[in-house]
Amino acid sequence: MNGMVSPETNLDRLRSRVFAGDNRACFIERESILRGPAREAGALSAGDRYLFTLERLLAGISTPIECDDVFLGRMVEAPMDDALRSIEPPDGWGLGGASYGHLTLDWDTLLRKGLAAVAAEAHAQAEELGTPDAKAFASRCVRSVAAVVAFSRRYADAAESHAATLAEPEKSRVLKAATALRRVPEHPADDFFSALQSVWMLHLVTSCVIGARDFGLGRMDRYLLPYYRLEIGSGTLPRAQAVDLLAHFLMKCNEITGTAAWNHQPKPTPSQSSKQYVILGGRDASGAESFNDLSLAILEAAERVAMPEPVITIRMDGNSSAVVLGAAGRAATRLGAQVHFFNDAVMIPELIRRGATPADAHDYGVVGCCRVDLPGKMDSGLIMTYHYHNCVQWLLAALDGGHDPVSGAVIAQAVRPVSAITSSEELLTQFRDVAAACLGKAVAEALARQSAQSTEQFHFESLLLDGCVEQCRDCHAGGAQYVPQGHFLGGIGTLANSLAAIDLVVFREKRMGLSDFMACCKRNFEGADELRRHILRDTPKFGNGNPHADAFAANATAALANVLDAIRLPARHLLLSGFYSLDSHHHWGRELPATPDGRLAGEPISENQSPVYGTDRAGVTALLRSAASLALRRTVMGGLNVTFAGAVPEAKLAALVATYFGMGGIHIGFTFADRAALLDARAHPERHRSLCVRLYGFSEFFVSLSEDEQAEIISRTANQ
Amino acid sequence: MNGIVFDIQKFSIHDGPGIRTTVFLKGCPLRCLWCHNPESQERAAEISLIPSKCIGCGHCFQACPQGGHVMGEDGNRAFRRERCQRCGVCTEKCYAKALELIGREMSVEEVIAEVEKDKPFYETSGGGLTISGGEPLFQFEFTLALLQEAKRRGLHTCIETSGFAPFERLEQIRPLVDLFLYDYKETDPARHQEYTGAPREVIVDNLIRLDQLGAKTILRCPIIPGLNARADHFAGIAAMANRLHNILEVNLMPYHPLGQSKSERIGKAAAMEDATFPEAATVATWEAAVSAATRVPVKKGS
Repeated sequence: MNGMVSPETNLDRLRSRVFAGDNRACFIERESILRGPAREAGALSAGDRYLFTLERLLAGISTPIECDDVFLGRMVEAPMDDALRSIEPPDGWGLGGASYGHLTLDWDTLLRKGLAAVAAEAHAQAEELGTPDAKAFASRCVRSVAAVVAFSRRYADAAESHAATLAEPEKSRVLKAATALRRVPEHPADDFFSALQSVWMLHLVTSCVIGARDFGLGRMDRYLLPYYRLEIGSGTLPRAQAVDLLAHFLMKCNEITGTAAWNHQPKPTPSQSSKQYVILGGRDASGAESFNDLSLAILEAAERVAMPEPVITIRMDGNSSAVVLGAAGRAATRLGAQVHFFNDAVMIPELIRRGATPADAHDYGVVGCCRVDLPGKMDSGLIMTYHYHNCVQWLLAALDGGHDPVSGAVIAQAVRPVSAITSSEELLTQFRDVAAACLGKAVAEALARQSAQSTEQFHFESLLLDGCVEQCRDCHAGGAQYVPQGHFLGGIGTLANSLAAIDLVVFREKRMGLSDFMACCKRNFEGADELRRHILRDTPKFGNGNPHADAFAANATAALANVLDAIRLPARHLLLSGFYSLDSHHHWGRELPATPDGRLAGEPISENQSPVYGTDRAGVTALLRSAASLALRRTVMGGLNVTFAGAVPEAKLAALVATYFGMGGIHIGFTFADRAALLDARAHPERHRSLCVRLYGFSEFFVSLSEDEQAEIISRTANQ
Repeated sequence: MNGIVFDIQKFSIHDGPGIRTTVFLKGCPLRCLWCHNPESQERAAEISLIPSKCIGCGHCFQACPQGGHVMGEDGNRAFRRERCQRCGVCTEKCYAKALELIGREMSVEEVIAEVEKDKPFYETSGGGLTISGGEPLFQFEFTLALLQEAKRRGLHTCIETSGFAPFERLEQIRPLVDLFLYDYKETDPARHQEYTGAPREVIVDNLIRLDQLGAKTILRCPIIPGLNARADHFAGIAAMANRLHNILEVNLMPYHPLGQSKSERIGKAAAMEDATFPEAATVATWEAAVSAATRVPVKKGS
């Protein structure tokens, strides 16, 4: 590359546009239409009100053509003025949108059948079922498809008239997309290009017009494969051109996020900072690896795009082939934080145990950071059925007669007083009892919320989630094949270290009774500096491959898994759990009093599957041995991000992942950045616009993170 | 059998194939001007102090039986190294880990147990154990025992050596070592003596004789601007590589100034104050210079 200046491509120009984006800007047409004058829709049912607004939006937004675009479909952005902001959007269409996203549509059905056929199926099914609810559902399906199809045709019209003003090669480029939009997404895709255009159009509609975050792109190397193979095989599409098309598709994912480089605050639209997920590889039910040449082409395209979106999940395991390992190693070093890895050998058996069919379990994907997804089959978008639980809070309640350490309220009944706990085993039992009480309550509440969902509501996603059309039932009202309920357990590192500290100080050294020890904690260790130093210095910490410390993490997480195993849900409901806190640990830490591990009140607690920052000092292999000791095989959620201060050779990085997965690890992602670079980026964001890091389950520009998040990344232990 | 170990580095990725654990043994007969592990030179344990980590808790003041840690006249903590008996008591009391004991006695069993913890990583990656130093042949009996035990347990083994030792030692360990990471520091004999404090002849003779016995080697060449980054030395590296039958590759190791701050920590003056990281383009010209004269692959090491 030395001294060579390659000519700027249209891909480069599209990237520059994203970087030049204004963070205050939003999809202004959408916001104006939502707040503009409308026919009174108050008398309509919830489903028809939704449809009324969706139709207005799709009929009212413009169809901008950007001649660098290979695929058509973009939004007009501008800042929202105060007058507009002061008007309330229709009920359900404000921030958060008419959907929560966080699911993957059945892309395979879209491409094979087209939307018109799906609407026709709904209509036929409603006729057969004959109920008013079914007929209402089907009519909403037909109307929403008509609205999307009309929007696509308007786009084709606009493109054709714009093409007349263009010279080559822009003219042919725009006309090609216009031709495709005359057919898709209404009808089946007939080639690789129209398949990508069809997916893009619906992705734009769901992410930007309906306006929700984190719609998944699913297993692109599966549903696009027939189109790819046909054209590569027949020679009508050279491979390099296929990679170019993919690169343009992936670049567009960065347009709808609103993740311009200065996205320091959330954008004022529902589509702010949308995380999009592409899943590659994985084993099928016969045990064969489905990683293929299209998977490689997608990775090559991502290297060319060099942007944080979409997040790429590579499914692999401890026995992955040399081809998969090679691609994984290359992706991890070249794409860095954009790629992360999930272990099929843990995910698939556990999904089956939770109630997924073997075929569906083998088809799993990932959305919304580290959440498991069954693409096109599961409505993960009902946010109220996902819960984050603070395990450190449960431990403190177990040590205080069942009282919540923050509010003082009783969160678990029949908990013995702290003075009655005489061993670490008894403490663990008490902790398990508190967890069981809290989880039992949360599960019952989630079920109640699910059953309270009105059958009158309608969401466009129902068209492409298996089960909804067959039952003529909205996805949120239980129409989809699987109804998930997520329970995420956070603070594992702080929990393990606290149990280890109590074991050492109270039960082995017998320095003081448990009541006295907890009194020191409640006083925030005031006047007990020596005790706190002893704990910080001398108790073994989770994350160092120390079998003694790791046993506390293993036993506590196994106890939690046992509690979850005892919970029974109705048929089709999947209990999805993991050791995962997303970003909840920030506010948990601020609220919690001091903890037995020597952490002071208000200090951060451990995040996701990580050790307490700064306490893992034995290197990355020790960290992974510790993480693998968690009861990960009984979970389906990710949550381990590892930072390296310097480069790691591809093959060694791939071997590291494969070894971790062989030991039972479930998920891992990497950031490559040294502390000095991160500190400099915090001080001089303009110099580090493209520095990408991993957070929770996604990649993001470091300079666009909040202060809390930047501090978290900086304080992570950098290996090597 | 016990030895003095100053570090056990996990996920070692620059000292041989795959993911490795490198065991650093204390003591070295050479005194290379650019030494990046100055704490490895003396065989006896040493106390390392990183003042920036000190939180001023004062525990070391009370702990030291010799009164080695005191409040200086300037109001800052001071370490009177002349009083230090290297007992390490202060390092045990240092919560902030500003004080650390460099070098502790370990048995072969203890070292192997630590190394074996990462066995799954070696198996996936083709890695294993690397013994480094200091100079591993300086603690010969311990190195030999370590290698014997590693082989008994089926571990892949590398040794990182200056080659400055009686040949019998190399001959004895050869069947136990899968790959020698053998230093080649200077072509000119007078400069070799000046830069390393040791004669070149023994080292080169040992290398050639080891090669004749079939030992696989990677030639590791520290390149230090202003000292040995010279055309005649690059030609000398290539010529040496060409003489060896079982060489796998040549690694050029650009000087890095890490050794300077480490010297300060153990209370020694750094031999080279002004060395800095060479530019990538400069390193590329070195690689080109060596590659031009040998068919052995030349790679940048670190």
